[in-house]
Amino acid sequence: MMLKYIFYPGCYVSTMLPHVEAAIRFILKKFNVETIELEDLSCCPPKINSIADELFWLTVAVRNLAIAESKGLDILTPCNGCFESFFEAKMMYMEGKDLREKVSNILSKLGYKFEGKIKPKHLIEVLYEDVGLEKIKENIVKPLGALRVAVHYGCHLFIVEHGGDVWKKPRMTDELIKVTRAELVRDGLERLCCGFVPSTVDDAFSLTYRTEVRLKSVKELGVDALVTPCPQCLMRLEFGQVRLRAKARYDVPIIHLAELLALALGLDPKKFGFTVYHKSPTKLILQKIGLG
Amino acid sequence: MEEFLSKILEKHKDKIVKVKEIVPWRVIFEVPNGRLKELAKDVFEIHGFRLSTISTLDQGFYFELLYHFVKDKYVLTLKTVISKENPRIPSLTDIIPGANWLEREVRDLFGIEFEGHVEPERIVLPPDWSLEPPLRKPIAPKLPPTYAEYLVNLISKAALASITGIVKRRRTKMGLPEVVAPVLESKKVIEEIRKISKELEIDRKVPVRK
Repeated sequence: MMLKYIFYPGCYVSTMLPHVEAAIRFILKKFNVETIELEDLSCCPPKINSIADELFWLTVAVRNLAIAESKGLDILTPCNGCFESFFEAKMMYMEGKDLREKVSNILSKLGYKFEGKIKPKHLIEVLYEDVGLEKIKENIVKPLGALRVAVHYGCHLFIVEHGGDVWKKPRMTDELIKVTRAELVRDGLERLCCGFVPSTVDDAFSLTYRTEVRLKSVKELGVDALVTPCPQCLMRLEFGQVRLRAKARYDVPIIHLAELLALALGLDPKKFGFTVYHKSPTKLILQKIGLG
Repeated sequence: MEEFLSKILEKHKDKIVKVKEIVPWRVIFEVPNGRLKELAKDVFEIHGFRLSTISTLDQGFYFELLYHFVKDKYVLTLKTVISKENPRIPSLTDIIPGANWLEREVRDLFGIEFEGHVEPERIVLPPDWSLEPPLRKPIAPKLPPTYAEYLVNLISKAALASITGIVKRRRTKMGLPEVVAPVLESKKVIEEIRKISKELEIDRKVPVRK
């Protein structure tokens, strides 16, 4: 059976990390995952905006869900932020009768209706649960056994239903890393905030007490790369290194999980600008796996 | 900071968490709300200041209370913060009688309880006032500029991200579609998000660009 989703790359992947998008599309194509692209979707919008107006955030997010539902398809996103926003919006909408009535009233004026029949899915869930680990394993053509990597999950990957298993998606991430044969090394700070969201309130604090703390720890591990399934974490940890250069050099290659998988599945790194568009020294990874 | 104020700071530095000097004779000492009263007592009884007034700032999630003390040319402000969920603080009226009307005014207008006030009656509102305190805003934080700007962007153009020429070229080079949602500047999307914001009267919260 062919898998089919509404594809929602999110603004960071599409505008700042096209190399990550290329890796994602390569993987999805490899496993015959059909992606439907819709012009009617708006910004997710980020959950943090519920601080300004919860009902506004919820209505805009549910509008996107309603459009996906009208096509009868789940939304696939590789962005932790978009995932969190859609996931929490659906949960709040389905659980809160008053909120649901308010949102429904507004959306019905625009001709939309959401009944909670579709799900937002993170790329990790699609790959692990729908494509399946075994199928991915069978298609590995470039085992990355030479690599030792650390992981940075990204806070919003821990979002679950009430009483759910918060480590479910992080465990899936671990398995998806291990399926490439890369060795996963831990420092115990995998769950630390990268500093991206708090940087919008206090950038200096976030850089020193979040971004640098994690970079320092990963550097001490002596790994070949830090792998993350989150676009925002990727950007923060890469740009953070550039900004910290005057103070300290970390030179830790930071890559998206999709890039690691794409390399193992045989995508030519030159085809998605693996060493060109990153701000961290990703060429070190290619040297280690004999492609540099 | 002038020596007279420096000496007060030195004596009470264990209670003061932050110092701001406006001019050498006008300073602000920030203190935890649990330490405010003992510092105010010393400032009033030992250092000879009088309480000039109390100002209150509603900062969304919390209140800032500024107790302005004056002596000759010196102005010493004791600043403290209290939560909006539990807006209460010990009254100074048992040590500074002049705090009586000031605290009652703050209580009437912002709904802050001054515990142990010697005369907790209304002063600027009618005794039977049953509505919310008139100067108190709903609990909502002041948004950091980044998010205020984002909200404006969301209302004005559905926060559809713009894509630079260089990224467009990179996308083409890698065989990606030139633009994808939520990047595409769809007039329909922008119009619908504007309608939602109008329904919810969001433009009252932030100035909207035309």
